[in-house]
Amino acid sequence: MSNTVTTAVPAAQEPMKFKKPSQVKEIWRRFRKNKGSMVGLILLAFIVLVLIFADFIVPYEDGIVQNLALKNQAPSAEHWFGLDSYGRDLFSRVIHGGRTSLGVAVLATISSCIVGSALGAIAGYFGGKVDMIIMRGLDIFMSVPDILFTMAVVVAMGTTFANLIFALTLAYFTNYVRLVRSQILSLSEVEYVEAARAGGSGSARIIISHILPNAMGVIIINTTLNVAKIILYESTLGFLGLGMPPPAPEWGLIISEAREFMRTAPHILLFPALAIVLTACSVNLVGDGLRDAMDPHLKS
Amino acid sequence: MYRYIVKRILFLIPTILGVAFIIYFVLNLTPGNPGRSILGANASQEAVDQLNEELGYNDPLLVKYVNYMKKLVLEGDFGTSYFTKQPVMNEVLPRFWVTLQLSIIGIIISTLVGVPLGMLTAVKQYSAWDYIPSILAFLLAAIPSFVLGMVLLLVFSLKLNLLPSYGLDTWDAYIMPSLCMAIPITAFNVRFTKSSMLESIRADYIDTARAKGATERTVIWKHALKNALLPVITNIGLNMGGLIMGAVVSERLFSVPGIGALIVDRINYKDEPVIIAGTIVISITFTIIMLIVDIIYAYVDPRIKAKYTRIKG
Amino acid sequence: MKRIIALSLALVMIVALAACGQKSGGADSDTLILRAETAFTTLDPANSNNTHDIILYDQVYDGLYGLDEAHGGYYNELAEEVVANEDSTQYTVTLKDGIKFANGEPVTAQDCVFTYERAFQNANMNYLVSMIDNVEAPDEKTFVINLKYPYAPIAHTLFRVKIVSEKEVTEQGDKFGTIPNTAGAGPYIIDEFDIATGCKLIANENYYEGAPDIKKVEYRVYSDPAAAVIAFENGELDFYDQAALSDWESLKAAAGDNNAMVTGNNITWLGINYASPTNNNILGNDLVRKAIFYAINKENVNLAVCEGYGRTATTYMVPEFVPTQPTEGFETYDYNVEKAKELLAQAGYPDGADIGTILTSTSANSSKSAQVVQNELAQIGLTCQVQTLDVSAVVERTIVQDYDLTVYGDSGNYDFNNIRQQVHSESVGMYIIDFTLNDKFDWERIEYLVEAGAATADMEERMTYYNELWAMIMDTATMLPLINRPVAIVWSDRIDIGDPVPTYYKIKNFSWVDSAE
Repeated sequence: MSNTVTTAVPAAQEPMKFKKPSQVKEIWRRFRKNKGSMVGLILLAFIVLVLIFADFIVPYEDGIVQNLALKNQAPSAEHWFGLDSYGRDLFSRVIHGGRTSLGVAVLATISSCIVGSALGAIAGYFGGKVDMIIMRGLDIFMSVPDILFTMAVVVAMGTTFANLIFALTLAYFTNYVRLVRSQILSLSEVEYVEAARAGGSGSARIIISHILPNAMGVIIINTTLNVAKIILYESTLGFLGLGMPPPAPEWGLIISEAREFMRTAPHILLFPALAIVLTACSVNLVGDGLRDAMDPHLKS
Repeated sequence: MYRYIVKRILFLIPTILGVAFIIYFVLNLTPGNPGRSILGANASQEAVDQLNEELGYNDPLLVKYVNYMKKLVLEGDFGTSYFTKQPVMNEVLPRFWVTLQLSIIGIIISTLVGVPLGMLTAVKQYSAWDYIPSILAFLLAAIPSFVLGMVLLLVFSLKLNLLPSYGLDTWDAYIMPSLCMAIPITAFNVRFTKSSMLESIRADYIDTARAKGATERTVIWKHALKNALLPVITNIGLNMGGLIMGAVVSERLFSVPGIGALIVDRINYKDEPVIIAGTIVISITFTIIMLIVDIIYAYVDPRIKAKYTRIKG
Repeated sequence: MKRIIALSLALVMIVALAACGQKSGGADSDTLILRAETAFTTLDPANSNNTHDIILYDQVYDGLYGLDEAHGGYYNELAEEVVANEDSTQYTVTLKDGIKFANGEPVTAQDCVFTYERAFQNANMNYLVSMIDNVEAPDEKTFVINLKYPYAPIAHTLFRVKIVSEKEVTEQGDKFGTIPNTAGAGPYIIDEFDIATGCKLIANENYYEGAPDIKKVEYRVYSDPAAAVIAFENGELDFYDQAALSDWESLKAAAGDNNAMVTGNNITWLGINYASPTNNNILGNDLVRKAIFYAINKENVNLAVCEGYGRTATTYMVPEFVPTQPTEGFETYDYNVEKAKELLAQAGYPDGADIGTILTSTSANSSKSAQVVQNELAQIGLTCQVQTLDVSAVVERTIVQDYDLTVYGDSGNYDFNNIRQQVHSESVGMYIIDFTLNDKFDWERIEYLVEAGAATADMEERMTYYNELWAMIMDTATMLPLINRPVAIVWSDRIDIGDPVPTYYKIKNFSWVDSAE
C-alpha cells in the first residue's frame, strides 16, 4: 500500500555492473543454481504463456456473457472454476482478467521506473539546487497518501487501462527516485565517469551511457519486486471499487464482487485470490533469485 | 544533530503548504461538488449553487488555498466540514488516534515477530528453521491484505466466534484489524531481515572476526546483528508510515473508525477541509516518524551521527 | 541492541496504556443494538435527507404526522387534528394536549412556526416546503400553514419536518446538530453522539405516550455488509434491517422465526435520454428505445440484484404503498427478444448499433442493474459502456442531460403526486428525462395532469388524471421500471418488533420479550 522505499537492496552497496554479455551469462549460471527461483521462473513463464494464449484456451465471451439462472454455480467439468454471481465462466474471467491485471502491473512498473529513474538521475547527477528541489518536492509528494492520488485520478479521469497505469505510476515512481539518486551519487565519483566528463561529454550523455547502465542491476531487482507489489495494490484498488469498468474482468474486481458471496460461493473468491498469490509469489521468487545472482556477496 | 532535527521540523511548513495545495489541485479535477452531495438529488440547482457559494467551494483554486492557509496560520483553524458541519479536528483527531494505535500495534507485532524470525532463517540457513518461516513469509507476502482480512473475519469471528467483528470497544477487538495490517509487513520483515543478515554475516569483517577465533554466537550477535539491523530500522519507520496510510482496507473490513476510511469516504463528498486536515495530520506523523528513525539510526551507528553535521537534511 | 529492546518495551507500554485508557464495555445486556450502515452525519433533522439519518430522527423528533408503513399511511403524531380549507391552500393544525419536548418544555405552536421557518432557510428542506407561503401561530395550540397554490398531498411534509424546541435550538446555536440535545418531542433522547462510530439513545421519560419499553439503544456503524451479517449471527446485533440478501438463507437460519421479508418502497429504473446526440441521436428513434425496453429481462435484474427475492416492476410506485398508483391500462414492455430484434430491424439497425454509455451510481443496486442491462442489450446487438460515478456526480450529469442511458432508483414514495419530481419540468434532480426537448412529447399535457392530480383530494378524479398520465409516460418509451427490491429484516430472540416495516421502524414499538422478569 505504501509508496515508501522498501527496497531489498541496502543502500550502501557497491554498484553492480550489468554490462557485458559474459556477466549476463554468469548471472544466469548463478540464477539457474537457485532451485526456488527456477521454480518461480517456470511458474511465471507458465502464467505469462497462459495469459498470452488466453484466447486459444477459453473464449473471452465466456467470461462476459451472463447466465443469471446459473449464478454462483460451483466448479464442474464444464466450468472448471465455476460461475460467478452473474453466471459468467470464472475460468475465463480469471485468465482474461490476468491479462489486464498483469498488463497494468508490468506497464505501471516500467513507467514508474522510467519516470522515477529519470528524476533520480537528474537529482543525483546535477546535485545542488536541482537536487534539493526534486528531493524536497518528493518528500512532500510522499507524505500525501498514495491512495488519495490514485482515487483522484481514477475518479476524475475514469477507469481505463491507461488511467490505471498513470495512477499506479504516481503511487510508485517515488521508490526509484531515491534509489537511482543514491546510486548516481556513489557512481558520479567513479573514475570512468570523471574521465567521460573530462572528455567533454554532455551531461545527458554521461547519465545515459555511463551511469544508468551501471545502476541497472539495482533497478532491475527493484523493478521485479515492485511488480508483485503493484499487483497487490491494484487488486486493492479493485476491492475499493476503483478497478476497470464492467464487464471487463480483472482480479481485484472479481474478488470484490466475490466478497458478497464469500460464504455461499467461496469459489468465486478462491480462484482469483489463488491467481494473485501464485503470480505475486513467482514474481518475488524470480526477483529474489535475480538479486542473489547479481550480488555474489549473498551466495556462498 | 540538533540543527538537523530543527531543520527537519521546520521543513514541515513547506510540507503542509505543499500537501494542502496538492489536495486542492487533485480534488479540483474530480467531478461533483459538495453542495449536490449534501443536498441530494431533490434540491434545486439554485440551492446547490447557493450552498457551494456559502461553503466557499466556488472560489478559484488559489483563492481557496490562500484563504484556507490564512485561517490555518492566523487562527489555527482547520475549518469546518462541509458535510457534517463539525470542526474538522473533532472528526480527524479521534480517528487518527484510532489508526495510530492500530499502526503501532501492527508495527510492534511485525517487528517482534518478523525481525527475530528473519534472523533465525538467516542464521539457520538451509534448515527447517529457514525453510518453513521463509516459505510462510513468501506466501503471506503475496496475499492481498483484504483477502487476508476476509479470511480472518470468517475464521475468528464467524466460525470460531472468538473475536468481535466490530469496532474497538474491547481490547480483543484490536486483534484482527491490527493482525490484518501486521501480517503482510511481518512477512516482509522476515524476508528483509533475512537478506540483510545474510549479507552482513558474509561481510569481510565478519570473516576477520571469525578468523580471530570468536565463537559463531559472538560473531552473529555482536558483529553481524548490529550491521544488519540498520536497514531493518529504516524499514520499520517506513512501514509505519505505510501502515497509517494503508490502513483503509482493514478499517473498512472491521468497521473501525480510522482516518484512512474517513478520507476515502469524504472524497466522494468533496469534503475538502476534512481531507486536507486528515492528510496534513498524516504527513506530519510521517515526517516525525522518519525523523525518529533517523535519530535512532544515529544512536545505533555513531558514524552516521557524524555525517549529519555535513550532509544537508 | 539494548536500546532497541528498551525502546520496543516502551512502545508496548504506551500502547497498553492507550488500550486501557479506552472506554471499555461491549453490549450491555439491557441495551438494544442496531446496525447503522454509515455514521450519522448530523443530529439536526433539517440538515439531512438521507433515509438513514431520517430513521434516527424518527426515534428522537416527532413530527406533526407520523408514518406507519405497516398499516397504510400517515397518522397524527404531535397533531391532534389537521383541517384543510376548501381549495387546499390553508391547513390548520391543532396540537395535542400535554405534549412536551425531552427537555420538559411544552410543545407550542410557536415552536412549529420556528421549525418551519428554519426549514424555509434550509435548502435540504426545499422540496418539502417550497409550496408553503407562510406559517403562523394564532395561539399556543393552533398552527396555520398557508400555501402558495392548492396542494393536497401535504402529509409527507408534515411527517418529514420534525418539530424542534425553539428555546434549545436557539441556545445551542451553531452547535445544534453536532452535539446531543433534548430538543425533540420523540420517544428517545440522543445521549451520546460520535461522528464516527454511531450514537446511543435513552428513553425520553417525558414522552407523551409514556416512556418506551426499551430504555437504552445503541446504533453501531458496520459499514461492511459481510461484517454486519457475521455480527448478527454472532449475537452482537439485535436488529438488522436492509439485510444482505446474498446471505439471507444463513441469516434466516440464525434468526429462527425472527425474520421477515417485506415489500420495499423502491423502484429501480432505466432511463433513456431521447435527445442524446450519441450515434446520430439513435436514442431519438422511438423504435430503438422500444427495442431496448423489450430486450430487458427484468427477472435477470432481480436475480443479480436481489437473488430473485425481488419483484419485477411495471409501475411508477409500489402499489402497496400508493393507493393512487395506476395498475393497468398502460404499456408494460414485457420481455420479448424477438419483438426487440424486429423493432431494431425496422428502425434500420438489423445488425445492432452502439448506443453510448449507461451512467449510474456506484451503489451495488444500480451498478449491478446496469451490468445486467448492458448484457441484455448485447443480446440484440446493442453495445454500450457502463460508467459508475458517485451518486452526486451522476445527478449533476443528468440535470444537464449529459448522458445516454441511466439506471437510477426512486424510493420512499407514498403518494402518486410524487411523480411530479420525475415528469414535471419545474422539478429538479429527479427530472431525469426532460420531456420538453425537441417538441417530441406533449409535455404540457403531462404537466397539466400532474397539477390537476395534486389540486384535488377526490380519489376518483385523481385516478382518471393519473391513469392518463402514466399511460402517456410509458408510451414515450423513455423510462422503464425494472424491479422492486424487498427489505429483509432479522432480529434477535430477546425482542419483539411488532409489525415489520420496510423503512421507518419505530423503536418505541419494540419490546423486550422477557421484560416482565
